[in-house]
Amino acid sequence: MTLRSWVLAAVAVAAAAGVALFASSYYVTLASFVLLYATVALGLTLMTGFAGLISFGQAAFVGIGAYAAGYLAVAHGVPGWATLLAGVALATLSAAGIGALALSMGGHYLSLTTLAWGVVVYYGLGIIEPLGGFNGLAGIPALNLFGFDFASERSMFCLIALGFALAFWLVRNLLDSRLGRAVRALRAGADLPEAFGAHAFRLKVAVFCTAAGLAGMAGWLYVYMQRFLNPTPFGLQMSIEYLFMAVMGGVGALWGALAGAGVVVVLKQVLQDVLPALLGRSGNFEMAVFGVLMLLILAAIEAMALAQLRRCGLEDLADAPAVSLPLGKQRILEIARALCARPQLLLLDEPAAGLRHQEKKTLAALLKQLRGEGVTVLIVDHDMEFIMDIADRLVVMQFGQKIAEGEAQAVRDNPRVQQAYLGSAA
Amino acid sequence: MDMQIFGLLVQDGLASGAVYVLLALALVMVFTVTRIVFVPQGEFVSASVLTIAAFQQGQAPGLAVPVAASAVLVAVFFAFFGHTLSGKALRATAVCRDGARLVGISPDHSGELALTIAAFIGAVSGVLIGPFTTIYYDSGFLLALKGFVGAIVGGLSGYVLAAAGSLVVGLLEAFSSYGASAAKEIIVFALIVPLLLWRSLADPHSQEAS
Repeated sequence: MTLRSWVLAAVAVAAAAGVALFASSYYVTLASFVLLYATVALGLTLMTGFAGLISFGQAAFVGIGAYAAGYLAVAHGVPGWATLLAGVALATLSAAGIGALALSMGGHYLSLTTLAWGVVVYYGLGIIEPLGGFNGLAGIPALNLFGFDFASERSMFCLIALGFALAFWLVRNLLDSRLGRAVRALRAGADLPEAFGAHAFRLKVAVFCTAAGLAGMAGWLYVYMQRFLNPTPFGLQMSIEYLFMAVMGGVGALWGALAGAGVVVVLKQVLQDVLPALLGRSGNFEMAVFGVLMLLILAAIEAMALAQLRRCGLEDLADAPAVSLPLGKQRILEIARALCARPQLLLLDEPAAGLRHQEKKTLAALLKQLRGEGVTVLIVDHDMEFIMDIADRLVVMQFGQKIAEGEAQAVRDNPRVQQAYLGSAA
Repeated sequence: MDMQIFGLLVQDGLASGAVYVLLALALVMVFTVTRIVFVPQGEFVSASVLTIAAFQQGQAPGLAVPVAASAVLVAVFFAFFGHTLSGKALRATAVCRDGARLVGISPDHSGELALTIAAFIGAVSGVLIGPFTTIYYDSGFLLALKGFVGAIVGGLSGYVLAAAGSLVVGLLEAFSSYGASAAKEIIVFALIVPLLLWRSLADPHSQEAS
């Protein structure tokens, strides 16, 4: 682990400890839900963001894990550690079966199969009598692990936080491993990993099973947090929300799962509190408002990205995949991406490296335009022609020492600069 | 189960199956033209049913009407896709987007047309299914999913197989709601497992481009 990840991990642990020790029980429950959902979303981030697989049935795996644990605990008094194993194992095994069938067909079949699977599990949980049917399964005992009682919501929160941390660490390590690099390659299609001798189908099933296992673990935590089960939280609605959290947080980064879960949970809570006051009556408005808000957010993000592309003159290529662009256009795209944060200062390290003459001229024109629009640009480069054309002020460094500073023309005429660049003989 | 009940169940299954046929055809069309898995297809059904219900307390037409109407619609679409310029452009886009662009067909325009037709089919399905099925505001989702189960028979690309699959879905639903009504949805959606198994065994290389 790098220093940065240690610091981030320390901050996360401190934040969790802060919630566990000082927050009111309302916020402890809210944070528990965020971390619980984030654990499920983490599996989806792994699937969607890194392996390019989409599951619409993740809540079903949470349900399988939860009901397996809940049933064993209520009906047979099975201890907590064993219900964990049973829940995770059952979720993973069912994913292996579904995945083996759907993934052998490729394409969109996994999405459709997981959708159907979500419906089957939801109605199945509702009609199986020993599981309490749609009335639910009550009387689940508090979790007891090795003599320690997890009866309070604070202790459950600590366990859930631990579970999320474990899941995060696991997925991170997986992605950093040799296997993980093959998984990342899946996103571009099955041909790429198979060209390197990785078995794409097996990898996909493994990724799907891992995500289902995480969902199963989240289900186990859910049982002992709520101590009551009914099929509603494991329906399609929830599956789509999990997918939403993963997509909202940005599927390319693991932290996105936590961010997405946080945004969705907090936003829904806020809407639930604010809307009845705003509309003057209570009802199920939060889902409708939530949906409209999400559409607006996605539209706003797209509009913002398009605006920056237009600013950089890439509008015509808006639908083209970035990898298909020539190097010069890719460099300009990188600048457009940086501009999305509306910076006042743009730092560029050798932006012209590897570009052809014409591409350099286009880039220089863009940088001049940005300067005209009020963005300060700081460039590090040794390409004299490129720099002289666009820079107002120059600082020349040699072996870590500043040797000249000032207006472009004055610096060019500076003998120390000429010596450094052209050698003493010149 | 005597012959009369059997006949009633077949009739019922064919009627709802006919609507799934329409949904499945719309889904296949949208998917082949745009590569969009058009899950909200069913929402047009519930929207049109609820709109009609809001306008009138209608007399239920006989069960023959939806079957006949969907047969007519299927015939109309056969003519549309086979003999009109727009229909041929849609088919060309479905076969190959790049090729369609080369001969001057705009894939964006084809996509918009496909989605419009899909919405129209959804609304018509709603008019057909409304008089003899209870539709709730959230029924559309499951309806579209049943259309998908039917469409999977044709690998999301074959119209005839998708239509046949949807009729099977309708019949299966009718018979399971008689035999085990609580498990109706489970039986219908679990059908996807043997279907996938059959398709992957019959044609292991049919990976549609994603």
